[in-house]
Amino acid sequence: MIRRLFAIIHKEINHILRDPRTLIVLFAMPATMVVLFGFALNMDIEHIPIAVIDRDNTPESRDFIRAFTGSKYFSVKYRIDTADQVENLFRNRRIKAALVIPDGFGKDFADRPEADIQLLVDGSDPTYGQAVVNYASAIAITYSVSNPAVARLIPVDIRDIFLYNPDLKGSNFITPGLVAVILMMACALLTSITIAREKETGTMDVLMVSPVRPIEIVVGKVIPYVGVSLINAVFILTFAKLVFNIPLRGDLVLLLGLSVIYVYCALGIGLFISSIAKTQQVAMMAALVATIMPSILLSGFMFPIFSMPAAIRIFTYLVPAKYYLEIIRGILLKSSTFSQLQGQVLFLAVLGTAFVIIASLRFKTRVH
Amino acid sequence: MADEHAIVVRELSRKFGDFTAVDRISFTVDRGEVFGFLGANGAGKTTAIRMLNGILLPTSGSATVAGYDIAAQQEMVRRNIGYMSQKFSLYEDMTVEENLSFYGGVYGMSPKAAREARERLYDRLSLGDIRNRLTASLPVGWKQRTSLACAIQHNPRIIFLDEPTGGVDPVSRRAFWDIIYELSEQQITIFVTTHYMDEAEYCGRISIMHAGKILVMGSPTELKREYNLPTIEDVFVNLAGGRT
Repeated sequence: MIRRLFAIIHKEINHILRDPRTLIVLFAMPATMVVLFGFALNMDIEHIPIAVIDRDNTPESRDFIRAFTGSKYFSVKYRIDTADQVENLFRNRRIKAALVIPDGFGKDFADRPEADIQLLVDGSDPTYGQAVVNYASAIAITYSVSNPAVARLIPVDIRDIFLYNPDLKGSNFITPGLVAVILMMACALLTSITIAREKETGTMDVLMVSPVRPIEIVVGKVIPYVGVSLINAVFILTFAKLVFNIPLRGDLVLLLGLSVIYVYCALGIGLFISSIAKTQQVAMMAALVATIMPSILLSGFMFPIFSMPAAIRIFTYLVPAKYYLEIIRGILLKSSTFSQLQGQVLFLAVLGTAFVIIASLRFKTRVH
Repeated sequence: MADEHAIVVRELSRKFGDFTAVDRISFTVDRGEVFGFLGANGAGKTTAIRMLNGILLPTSGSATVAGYDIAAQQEMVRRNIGYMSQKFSLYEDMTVEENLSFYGGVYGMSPKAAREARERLYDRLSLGDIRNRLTASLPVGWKQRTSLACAIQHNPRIIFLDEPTGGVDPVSRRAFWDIIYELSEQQITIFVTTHYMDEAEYCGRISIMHAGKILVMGSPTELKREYNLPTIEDVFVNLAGGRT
């Protein structure tokens, strides 16, 4: 039993070290994805190009505009006189918003204090447009409060403090999620071809005729890939730390330990796919589709799970990345401890074991 | 004594749904015999071999291989046989020695026993010079020998050769058969399937299978005399071809 298992582990290590594709999947692909996703998926919007139409032209209006030019969220690209030009700037995608300060703004604000400002926003991208409105409102409120007459009138003042990610930095949120997606994809991709390859080359026939048991083949393949995948996880986190300076708080040893369970789950999926697919090509495609889509769309990586319809929310319980996201974001951002993550660990262990058992059983069904 | 028969097959059948792949075949193979198992594609050869190798259960009938029941003692069957397939099932990203060492482990040999077995085989099959070469870079004839070495290093009592010499040049093929005869002299039973009818002439006894049944069995000389034909190929075409 031990000798047979050791023989298979040793052989798999040879395969891993000698196949350049493995190294590409392990290092080149994650690095590319971290860079692409990290920069492209940056949800922090800054330097929104706007135009300003100042019809008032008083010290007050100039002061108000200065609140926009001084903010990192906006950059005033155009100062124009007539509303006709605005349309053109929107259509040519020069600006995302236009601020119109009406005549009499300075006077109204000083006297009453109550003044209207018009903000024209490009609504063709609703998410972006909403962000523009939020930033502009925040600036307007800050400006209003700076007027002593107004400050006295605000009965309740909410002072919000964002815990754990005070700057609301998107990369702090996205990069740990990327670790979950990449680990799942790399593990499933690597293992998905291992059994299919043996079927293709015919070595599986010889193994079937040997005294090796299916479970020994499956476990012998899982063990080396767990090791390789952990190296991969450390690589992704280090790379993300260097490029995006994400915080590495919490117990990193605990994170690696819990990553083993997630990796085990991913390997189980890969082996399961491998046991069904007849060729390496089919196995690779199936592994990519079965892991990337759910890990990105249904895990909470990009879209919050609580806002999904109930039917889909139930389905997310089968997505291992959902649990790992809670684990890795918990540990890295909130310094969560093991006892706070027990539920996630349990679900991952159950899912992983189910896949490994099904993969082993797939061999047996071929015998009878 | 049961030991004289390496393989005993009685009324063995296997059905897949309504299709009968193997239809009540019976035969015995003696210890040290070179037994040729012939048949066209789809005749049921592969199904029969899979049952004898303990990876497919029979629908009815029984068989023993090396004295072990193929349905009840599959693991013992597998421990006592060696298997070499038509595709030379080597790991091409590993060397000759690594392949041998892997299959040694798979058959539960201790590292020491495996090492000794390897050294013997390097001598016997003249593989010593290429032991550290990746099998991907080897000519077909050498791959074939390496596959054979992998199949026999754990000293099996019966060796199943599934179309072992496909795509091999005549010189290598002859050399291969010389080794097979040597093994046979050491009382190791050889069970070989082949498409090459000239190769069938090398066997001590052959059977010809068609549509799940064994049509004839006997030594090549007997069969040629019986059908009054010059070669086994003619006998085969006469039997299998005439019935499709």
